[in-house]
Amino acid sequence: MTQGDADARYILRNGRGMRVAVSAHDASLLSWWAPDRYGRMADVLAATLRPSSPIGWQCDALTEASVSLSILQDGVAARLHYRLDDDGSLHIDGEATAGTVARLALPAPWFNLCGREAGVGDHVLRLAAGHYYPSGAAGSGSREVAGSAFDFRQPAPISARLAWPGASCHDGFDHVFCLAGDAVLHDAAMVTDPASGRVLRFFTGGLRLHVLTGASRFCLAPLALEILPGQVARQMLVYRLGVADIDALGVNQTINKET
Amino acid sequence: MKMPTAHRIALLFNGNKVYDRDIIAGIAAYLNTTRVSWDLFLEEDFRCRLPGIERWQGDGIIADFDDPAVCAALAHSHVPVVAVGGSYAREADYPVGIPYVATDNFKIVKLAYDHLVEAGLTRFACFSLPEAAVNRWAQERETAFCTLMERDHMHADVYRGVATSAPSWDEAVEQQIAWLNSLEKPVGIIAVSDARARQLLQACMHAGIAVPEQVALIGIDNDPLARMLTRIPLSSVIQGSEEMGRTAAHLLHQMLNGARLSGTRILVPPAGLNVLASTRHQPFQHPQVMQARHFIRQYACQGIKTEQVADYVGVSRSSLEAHFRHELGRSVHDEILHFKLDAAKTLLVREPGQVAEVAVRCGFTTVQYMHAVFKRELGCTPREFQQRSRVTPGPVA
Repeated sequence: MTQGDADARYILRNGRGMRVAVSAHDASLLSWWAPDRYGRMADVLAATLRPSSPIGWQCDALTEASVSLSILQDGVAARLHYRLDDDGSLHIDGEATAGTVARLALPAPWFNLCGREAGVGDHVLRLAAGHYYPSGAAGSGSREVAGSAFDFRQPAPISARLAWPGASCHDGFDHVFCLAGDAVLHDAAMVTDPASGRVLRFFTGGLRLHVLTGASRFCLAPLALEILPGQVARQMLVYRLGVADIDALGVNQTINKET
Repeated sequence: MKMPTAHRIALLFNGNKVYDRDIIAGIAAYLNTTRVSWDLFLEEDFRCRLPGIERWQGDGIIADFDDPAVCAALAHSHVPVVAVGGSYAREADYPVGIPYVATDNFKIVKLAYDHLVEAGLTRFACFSLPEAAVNRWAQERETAFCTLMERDHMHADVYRGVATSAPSWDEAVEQQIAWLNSLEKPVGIIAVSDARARQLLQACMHAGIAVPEQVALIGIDNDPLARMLTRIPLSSVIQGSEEMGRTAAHLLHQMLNGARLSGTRILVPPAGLNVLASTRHQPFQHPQVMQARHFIRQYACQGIKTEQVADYVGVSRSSLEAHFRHELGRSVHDEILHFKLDAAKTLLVREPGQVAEVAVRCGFTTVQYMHAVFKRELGCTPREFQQRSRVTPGPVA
């Protein structure tokens, strides 16, 4: 694998046939092959928009199911660790330090749980969020979700919510939500696709979640890391892919909090 | 302290079905999560009684527009009305000038159909209801089924049967059996409701038709009662009824605040599928895979390996693996392990305490290995599995 080659990738596998490809170029997720309720595998990642995530990561360690990457660029030192577990959890731990105040946007995956060229409008979203920022960006003036199209505390289909009067975002959500969890890894979101039966759960150690939805893909992303000099900024995430019928059995509901 | 005046809202639903009750639950959920306070007008038996509704001195109404009597009674209502009902293929079938929250009949039927296709079926039929003004939704589901059949260049076999009543019950069942016998098997059948699916399932049992091998059957509503009344657990499409209730409550809330929403129409897609035994059809067309599974089913617990399965079938290990990957998406080893695990689960439930013996009897080389497989596949140890299954009652034999 050569650095600089935009197609170079690391492949992680778990004991149940899932595989995840991580770009050696910009450390983003390139593909995630996961079974549907019929056991059929498909890539559930949609083409990733590449925001300003840094390019030129170095691989520090690679095993069958994990990879550690690091980068030093413009005075920011960052490390990213991906680990795929047998229960379908992809742990993504990031940390960064800098000599001055800095921001670092780590790459976030876009999903389509159908695994095909189909819309995500009928995907059902649940968010553990009581407040959101109407302006899109996280700033001042958060609002309660209660009584609005943004109340996903009970699961609701994305497209039907966008049709609510006053949703004022007919093309899709692009909003920051305030999570109800604490600063340890908590259950923040769940997306289910009735057609394939796939279920994506999202756990984060953060208190803000950026939710973006388009016609054929969606993204649950943490905000950019805010780095203060002399401190280590950390990001802790888990995306867990399963199948509705299996999750419904109540097995594997707890997540391993040690990382 | 002055309390804000509560609006007086009538909910006109017949709450004898899980669908209507879930809609009402969704309305309640909306009220509970907001500071909206409504005095709800609802008959104590959750039945919808229309006489005099036009003279009712209230502020708003949410009503089930699947009932033509409700449509007629509310056509000229002087208070804001939000309609809830089934979606229609034809624009002209919607009430004019009233905001409408619909269950998306086309997507419901499509989800059921796609599921039957994924389950490996290639012939399809629809069990509907006799045409009647009170079940236009059933006709809409039929239409959706016919549209999908036409799209895929297949013959649409729709059977409406007769409306059920006590005196004609035997005759109705006989006719259902005659229809079932006339269908080429295996066939996937979509019933327009769980109640209808349950009747057909019973007819299959009477006629000795194997479900899901010959007839794979799926209903709509995910009704726990229909499920309890069938011997073979019934697969079903879960409607987005609670979300429909939340949406209807939101629309009325907006209208009470002055919003004009007469043209608003929101279609709510189904929330999911409950896949149970009635559609667990596994047509493994490939003869070698079928043979291999037959062998595995008999000898998995005797510690067989992939080589022995390949020898039995008479093909190379690699080509058998390729067929398995293609047909089942898993390896021969996974398939053997799957059978061993199932056998171990059954034994653990039946014979408390005997973990080591169960491991031996199910063909695990060591207890530690069985332990590891349980941890990986079920996220618990064999003993934890055993304890958990003792808490929940086991299946009735």
